[in-house]
Amino acid sequence: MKISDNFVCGLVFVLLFIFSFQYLSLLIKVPFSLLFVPYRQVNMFESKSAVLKKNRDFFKGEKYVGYISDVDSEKVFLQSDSIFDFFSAQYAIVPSILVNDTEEKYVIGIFYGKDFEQKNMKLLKKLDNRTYIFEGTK
Amino acid sequence: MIGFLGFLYSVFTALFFGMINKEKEFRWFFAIPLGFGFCSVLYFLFLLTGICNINIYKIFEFLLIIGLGFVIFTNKKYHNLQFKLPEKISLPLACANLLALMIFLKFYINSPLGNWDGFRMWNTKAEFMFRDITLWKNMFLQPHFLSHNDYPLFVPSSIARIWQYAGSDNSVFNAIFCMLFTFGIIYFLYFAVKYFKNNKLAMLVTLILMLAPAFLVKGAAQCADIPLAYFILSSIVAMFLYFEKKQSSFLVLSTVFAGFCGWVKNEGLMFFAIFLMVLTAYFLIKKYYKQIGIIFLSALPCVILIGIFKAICKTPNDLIQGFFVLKSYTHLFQPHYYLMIIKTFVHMFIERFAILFVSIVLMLKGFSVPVKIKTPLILSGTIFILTCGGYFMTYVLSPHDLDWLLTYSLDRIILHVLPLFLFLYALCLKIGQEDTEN
Repeated sequence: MKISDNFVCGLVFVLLFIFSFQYLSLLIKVPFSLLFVPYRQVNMFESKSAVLKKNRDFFKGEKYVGYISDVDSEKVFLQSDSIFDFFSAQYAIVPSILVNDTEEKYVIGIFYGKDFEQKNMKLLKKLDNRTYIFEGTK
Repeated sequence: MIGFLGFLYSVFTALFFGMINKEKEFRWFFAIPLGFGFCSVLYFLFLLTGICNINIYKIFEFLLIIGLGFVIFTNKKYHNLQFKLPEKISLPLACANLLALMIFLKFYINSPLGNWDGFRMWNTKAEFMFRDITLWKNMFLQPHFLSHNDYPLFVPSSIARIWQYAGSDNSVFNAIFCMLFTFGIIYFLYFAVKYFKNNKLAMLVTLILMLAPAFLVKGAAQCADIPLAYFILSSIVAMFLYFEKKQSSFLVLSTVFAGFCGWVKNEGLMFFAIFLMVLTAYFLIKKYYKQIGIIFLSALPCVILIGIFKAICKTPNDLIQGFFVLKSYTHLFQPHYYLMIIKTFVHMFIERFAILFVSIVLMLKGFSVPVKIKTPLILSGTIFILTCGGYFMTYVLSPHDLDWLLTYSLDRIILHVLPLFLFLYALCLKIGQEDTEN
């Protein structure tokens, strides 16, 4: 039995339609989101880095900036939320380089609780409820 | 508005640089990787000079465009700059394109700054190359290995250059840049298959790629994977054109694209090496020594560029370091590494690339390879198999936790070679030929 091209094309179209059916609603959802949803503001990286980005001039001229958080320094790169926080801060303060210690002139602190009060660091600026700039030990 | 005009200017100038290739059929498709590749190198070299004023770069680039324009419009062989649009884009292709665009935009809306890799590595590096051009080398001082300081700079340099013209680091520009590569490669595949085979087959294969969510997600992720796939496909298509037209310029173009792969990602270096090895071996067997010379002369600037970059970044590659320091070569004798890779591949393929199973239907009509493309097909098939083998061994020899590495990278690795696979696969199929029942 010979198989025609049209049969193969039809079969491919049907299968692709079945596979893509779940995405059809995007034809309405996506234009709506683009027009009416503040998708950039609610993005995790954007929201984490926005406040530091606004204050990046604070670190002008500093090659290295320290980092402290309510995660122990040796565990900063072991927990996904902590890694997100660290690299969001790094993104925001470019061209300065973020290092995971407090032996710099300025130290960025990301604290979700009140732990920073126990760190005995001199607070220079509170940027929002979780982002702080401390004086480092340099 | 001015920012968007600046963005448009940066894109059109890049495409203009890319038009220096001679192929009429694929001129604009080659122009995307070639133009952005050239501009990224130009921007990188400018930063290397240490000149603090970005306007000097802009003036220099403008003068280059004037010079190139003069060459193009005074040289007869470059006169024909038309772009061949298909006479009629079929309805299924148009509908699929609309849906693919929505899927792409959905993932852009979810991650406007790129996915985790796009944000952490590529966009952060682009910030370094944009924010303060006197301190851009700071990017190589980032202390943690997750920054991957040794990754090549095609994407960061291209994005930073676009931002310089646009005057801001708005992520919309990144998204459009990524869209250009994502949809560019889709239509490039369409035109390439149509050129070497036929329209019907081209449409079917393109539809499968176009509606693969994993492909569109990574396209919107603002990573270097889809651009790498584009460079790989361009290199192979240019090689096919060389064997068809016997013009050395296509061999040069093919090698330059392969060289650029090493400027896009470290994985591209492996493709570059395999490409050189396979073509050199072929020309040695055939005793075409002139072609070997052409390949190596074309590859030389890319090798120098990558050498300069590696010398500047001064960051050892984690894989090479792991091989010697952590003795990861011992993995070679541990079968569970091989099994885990195969198991994850099968699992991931079913989970994220299930749509590719549709391509099996295309086999119903059987296979047929035109004689005129047999040689490049064998060569590119060899390159494809060796590249896949290279990726496999990269996983085996990786010093990192294999389960973690496979989970977060295997889908991207598959995407590097997916358009190439579909292209080669389509060339072997029988659909749409005159000798079949249509």
